[in-house]
Amino acid sequence: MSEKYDRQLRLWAQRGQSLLRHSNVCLLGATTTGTEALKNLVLPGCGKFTIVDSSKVTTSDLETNFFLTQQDLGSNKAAAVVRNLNELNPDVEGTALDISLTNNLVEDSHFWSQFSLIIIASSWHLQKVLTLADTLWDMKIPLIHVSTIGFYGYMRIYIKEHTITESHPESFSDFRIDRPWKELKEMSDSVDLEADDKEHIPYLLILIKALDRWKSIHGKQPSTPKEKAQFKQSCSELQSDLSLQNFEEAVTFSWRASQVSTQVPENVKTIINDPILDNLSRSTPLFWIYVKALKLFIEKNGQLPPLPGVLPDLHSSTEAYIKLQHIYKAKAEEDIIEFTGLVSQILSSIGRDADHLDHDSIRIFCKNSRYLFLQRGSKTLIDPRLIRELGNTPLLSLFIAFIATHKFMDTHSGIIPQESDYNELISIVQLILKSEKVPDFLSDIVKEILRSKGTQLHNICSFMGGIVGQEAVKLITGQYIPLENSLVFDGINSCTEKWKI
Amino acid sequence: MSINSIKPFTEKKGPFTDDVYEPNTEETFNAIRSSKILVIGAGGLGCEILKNLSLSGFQDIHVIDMDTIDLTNLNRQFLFRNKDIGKSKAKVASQFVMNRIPNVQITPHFCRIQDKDDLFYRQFQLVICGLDSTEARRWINHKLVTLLDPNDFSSLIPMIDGGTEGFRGQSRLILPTLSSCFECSLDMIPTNVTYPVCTIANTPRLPEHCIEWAHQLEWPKKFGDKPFDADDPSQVDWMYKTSLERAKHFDIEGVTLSLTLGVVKNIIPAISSTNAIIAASCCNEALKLISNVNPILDNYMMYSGDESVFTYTFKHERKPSCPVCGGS
Repeated sequence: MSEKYDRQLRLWAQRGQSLLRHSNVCLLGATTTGTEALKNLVLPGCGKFTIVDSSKVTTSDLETNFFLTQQDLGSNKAAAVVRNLNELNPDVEGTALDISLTNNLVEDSHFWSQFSLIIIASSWHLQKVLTLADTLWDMKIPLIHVSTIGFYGYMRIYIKEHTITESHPESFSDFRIDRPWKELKEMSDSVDLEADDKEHIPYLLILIKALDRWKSIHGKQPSTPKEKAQFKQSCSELQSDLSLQNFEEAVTFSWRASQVSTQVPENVKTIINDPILDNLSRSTPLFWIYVKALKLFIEKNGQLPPLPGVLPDLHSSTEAYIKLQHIYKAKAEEDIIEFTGLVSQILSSIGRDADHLDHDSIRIFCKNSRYLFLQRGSKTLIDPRLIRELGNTPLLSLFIAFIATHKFMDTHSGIIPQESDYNELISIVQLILKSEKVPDFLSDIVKEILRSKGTQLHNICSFMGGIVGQEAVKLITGQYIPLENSLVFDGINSCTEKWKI
Repeated sequence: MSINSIKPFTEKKGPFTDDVYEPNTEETFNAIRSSKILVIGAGGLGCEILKNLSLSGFQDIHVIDMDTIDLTNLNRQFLFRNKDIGKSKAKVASQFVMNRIPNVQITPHFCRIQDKDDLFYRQFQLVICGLDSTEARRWINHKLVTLLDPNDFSSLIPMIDGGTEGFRGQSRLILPTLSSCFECSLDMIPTNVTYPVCTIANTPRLPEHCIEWAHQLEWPKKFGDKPFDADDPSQVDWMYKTSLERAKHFDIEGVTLSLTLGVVKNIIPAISSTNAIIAASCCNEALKLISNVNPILDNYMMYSGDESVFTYTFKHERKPSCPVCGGS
């Protein structure tokens, strides 16, 4: 079981896989793009999926959708795609719903609450998309709207709030060179930079010593570029034999000594000051309980968050490295115990079970406490402020052309605009821009859209289905940082652009 | 017919098409149908590429892959099932796509790319690579440069190359001697993590050091010239236990079976969505290249999805001193 998923477990581990396995993804519209997106979720083992589509399979569907066959012609499209996707992975259970989505159903929060994520991949009325986003809003169920025309793709994620504990930073670099705790200080004090075995001293200890000396002269950590350069120079003078790799590392990483451990990153500062912390209740997600604990922890520990306790490889003897690693790990364990105590206090204070704590998730939270992310979405289609950027960001024209095309289809019962509709489409663009002046590049994109006559190119559908697949996995596992929140793909120039609206 | 999806673009010039482009549906359809395309690799990217080319209207496709199907392929290589484990990737993939899509001919080659001669490679209009090996890419890149007759540009075979790692990937288009080749950009390829032998032998600190000790030093000591086979469970078990024992001796934590496999097989994380994105980009370029309905990538796109979505599209310049394509 886990062997089959080995190549992805190396990215999101069992925790991510378990969330994926317990997810239920809903696809509205068994289009090629939608089917390709689902394929990318069925293969890695999402637990369940549901396809809603009441149309019948036509020959033109067979031309672009790999998961429809000759035998499926004329049958319900949702059922046919479910059958062909189900076959990909015996761990996954697919369901087809041959129903049309009435306005009542779009507003029926009970129906949608069974899903972990919803993908709209059909030409829905934009107002209906927004109504569904509204229905899902307070349940915090993500909605992904994706569409393709010719060589172009568009995608939008609607979600009220998404929190990320495991953003997978490149490294966990919190070494407290400026604030060594007792055991770390003792170890650095105990080493002699002139000793015979000086080539075995881990560079972190060298930096702690060097910073100590610097502070005794300058009274504070190096902070200006000039001071940092001087400090680096002083590190290179610690040792006449520059071939010693550990001393070389100390010079290379001398900037780490000017990092201020008590400085909490902006993203985390915003999170710990969120007003949600004033109203914790029985239903508040665990993430926010941990954030509250983090806030208290930082206050109690002189602005220091829990230590990640992760040490990179450093040139040193095995013995010195392992000893140093133990010191970091022991401190991290100490912090976890204190943090756990805070979590259980908070839980009791709001009348929640404090006896059965999820220790794994507490450990992960502590390790990642400098790398937390919070995303808050919006339900508006386009930000008027964006339009001012039109001259600077060429692909914004594609974004506006997509919105205009969708709006055109809304008023023509879903019919794709034809070449004769050029003037009407341009007038919609003018309305969006609130200006008569349409840049040449934008009108060219409109012409290219009309040239495609609404054709679906499999490659473009598969490309967009791939992006939806990645973003869906990130949203479901709560790991890595998803797109915020709008994106277009230009398959002519092979590039994408994104905006937060 | 899958080819119909491109029809509107063959009927009319677009605002971005090259000036010389003359729309002609019949000619374009013929060009697509008669193009002979070679796909190298029938793995994560290869499965996607075969599907994409077939659904773009290409009808004469060859695929070459020396590998057989493994259980760990099934999380992304969607043309394979449990019952196919152990069979040739090229053969199973070809058969699956031909069963699914009418009028497409896919010819599998269950062998190494080095086993084929120049005559074989000369028959193709385009080569698309979905490989995970730098060496294989260098080999085919070099081959396509040597096949080019500078006095006859009809001998030019473009190469489209895709690659993925985790949430990241890249696709690029190489016109031998006209644009930067794979060798020109070799310094952009991250080298495999290696550990100095003295660290492995004398001052291990990481679990990886213990695994490399078992792999590089203990295995040859104990088994002589017998090569280590990472697909043999009993050998993997020996490797894991030997590494673990060394780690315990030095009080090093973190040696697991999964990490042991990762280190000795140099495993790269792979997921279906990234393969889908990169393969689609490669095949989109292939379709534009053969049909001319819109301009092609010039010449490199990088995709990164681990922190939001980011693409960087740029022209990688030729290296005048390139040992493969430079100097002429």
